Amino acid sequence: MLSEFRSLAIISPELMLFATAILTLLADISSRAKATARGRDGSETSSYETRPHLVAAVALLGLAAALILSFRTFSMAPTEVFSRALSIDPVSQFFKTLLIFAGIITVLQGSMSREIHRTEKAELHALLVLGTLGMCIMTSAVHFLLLFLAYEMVGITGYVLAAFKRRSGLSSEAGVKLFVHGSLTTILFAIGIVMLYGIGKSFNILDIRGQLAGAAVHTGYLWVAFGLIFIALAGRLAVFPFHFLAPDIIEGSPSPVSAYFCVSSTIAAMAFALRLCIHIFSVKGDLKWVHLPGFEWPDLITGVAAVTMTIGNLTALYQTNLKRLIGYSCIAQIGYILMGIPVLTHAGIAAVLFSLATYGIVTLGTFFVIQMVTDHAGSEKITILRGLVWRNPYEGVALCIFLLSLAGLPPLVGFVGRFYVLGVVVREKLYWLSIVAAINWVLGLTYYLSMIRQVFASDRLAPGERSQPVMAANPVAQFTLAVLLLPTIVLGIYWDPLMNYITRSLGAVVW
Amino acid sequence: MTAYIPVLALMGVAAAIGTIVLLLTTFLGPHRPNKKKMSVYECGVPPIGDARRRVSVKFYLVAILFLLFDVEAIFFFPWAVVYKKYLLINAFILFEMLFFVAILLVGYVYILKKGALEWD
Repeated sequence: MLSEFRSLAIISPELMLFATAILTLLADISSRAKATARGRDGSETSSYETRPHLVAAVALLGLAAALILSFRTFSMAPTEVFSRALSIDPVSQFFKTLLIFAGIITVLQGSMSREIHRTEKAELHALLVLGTLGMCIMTSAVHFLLLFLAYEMVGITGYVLAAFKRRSGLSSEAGVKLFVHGSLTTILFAIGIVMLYGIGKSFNILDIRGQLAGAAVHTGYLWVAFGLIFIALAGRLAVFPFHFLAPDIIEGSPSPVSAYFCVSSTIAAMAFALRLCIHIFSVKGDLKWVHLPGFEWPDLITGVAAVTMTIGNLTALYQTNLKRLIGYSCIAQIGYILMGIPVLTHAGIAAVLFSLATYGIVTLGTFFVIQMVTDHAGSEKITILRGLVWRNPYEGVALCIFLLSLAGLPPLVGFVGRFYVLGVVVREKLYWLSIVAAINWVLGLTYYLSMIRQVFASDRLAPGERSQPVMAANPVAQFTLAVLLLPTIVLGIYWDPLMNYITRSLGAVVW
Repeated sequence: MTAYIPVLALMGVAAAIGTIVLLLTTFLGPHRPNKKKMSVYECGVPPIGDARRRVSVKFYLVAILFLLFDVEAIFFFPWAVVYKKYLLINAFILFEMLFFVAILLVGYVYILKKGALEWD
């Protein structure tokens, strides 16, 4: 009895997330007042009044509580709970904190979004929280059954979230595409798990690792297992052969959901990719991991990273839809981050964690501003940014800072992350990869700067328009932007605390 | 192997009953065929025509809700099988199921309040 309840205390952030989802739904139906609406055909429908403010407050308070709880488990010694199904270590808690933070921002975005009707907000919040819960479990699951369930939990909430704008054709398209792709990759994932079970005689990642390191397994067999699981992850990560889906989904979904897919989904998938690459398919050496003898999977990841960032950047060059453009830029960013995995050094993984965290914060900020602008303009064309910095100076400058950080310019945090990743790549003498990355750095600058040029362009505005704000000032939104701007700027100048924390966590885990 | 003999016997009895009933109705039952009677049975839906008829979305809603609550019952079976064994160790298994049922109940209250079960 005691051990189970102790385990429950350790997974308190997840429990809190779950309670939040339930309470959000309950808050939605808490009103007793009936509201009648007259339909287009004159028929009267009555339903209970909704309370969007109460719902948002419950969801945000719950997420904040979960964030605090995850901070409390931050520096715990690595433990495994529930019959070694969940591994709670500093790295998984790091990911969890990031995911819950992203959850707070996306829920806040959802509560402000004009794309979502007030009667549907509760369901959006609940689904976002449940998806975040699934991702949190994904980051610390070391048992494949649990991992599979968590993967599905993220998937199923994702299908609904992508199709959330019911009346929009693009949104339905995104939902159906995600569903078809998701159900297919789930099958491949399951087959991959079964193949690993065949080698390791266990569903537990730690046991499988022991088996793989001990016995000489045929390389072809390993390639199939690795490939199948990699395909399942590639769709979520939006890396090269499976990146086609991501821009469609990001364009079609309502903006809060786009941010959720771009940030949360990617972080969770990357957490699992790290576990797959380091935890299963590598052996621990001193100061460095070594891939299984004869099984050269790092070469595959290197190639995928190079192609992903090139394609993402090249395609982003000629996009005219704002959300789609950011979607392609996300693909390119993931390509950069992925470069840190195949070098298999502590520094490389630390660089991946660092740039993933900063990528998350900056992308959330970008989407936050873009949602505000697209909601007010009623369009997603890139030209709606025109003259933003003159009309809404605060939001305009914030967007410029986020974009410059995504472009990787100093003294912003995006530069630091990219510098670290490029540094480990050069140190491992992967010169061709560093040249590809450098070319991409410039390619990225092109479209980020062209967006910034739109933000500053005032020549096409009518004379009176320049001093006329696009949107009314919203104190909550401005505060949130400040919260996101702070790490973007401060960590760009003084990144030691975060980097030190990451290095220490990596040293503490048993990986 | 002997453990499977009852299964074989059951299969035999099932096959025999099926055959006997079919033969009896063929030989003993009255035969007054007409066009309606001889048409293919398709669960009460006209068997010939466009399959893409518009059906009220309410049917899907009820079907999905039914499916959800029906599938939950599957979780009860394995739980019930091991319940006694694990209750002797500690009561955690009982709390787990109570928790699960409470979540189900929240879902039920939600759809009730949202009016998903109201036909009009």
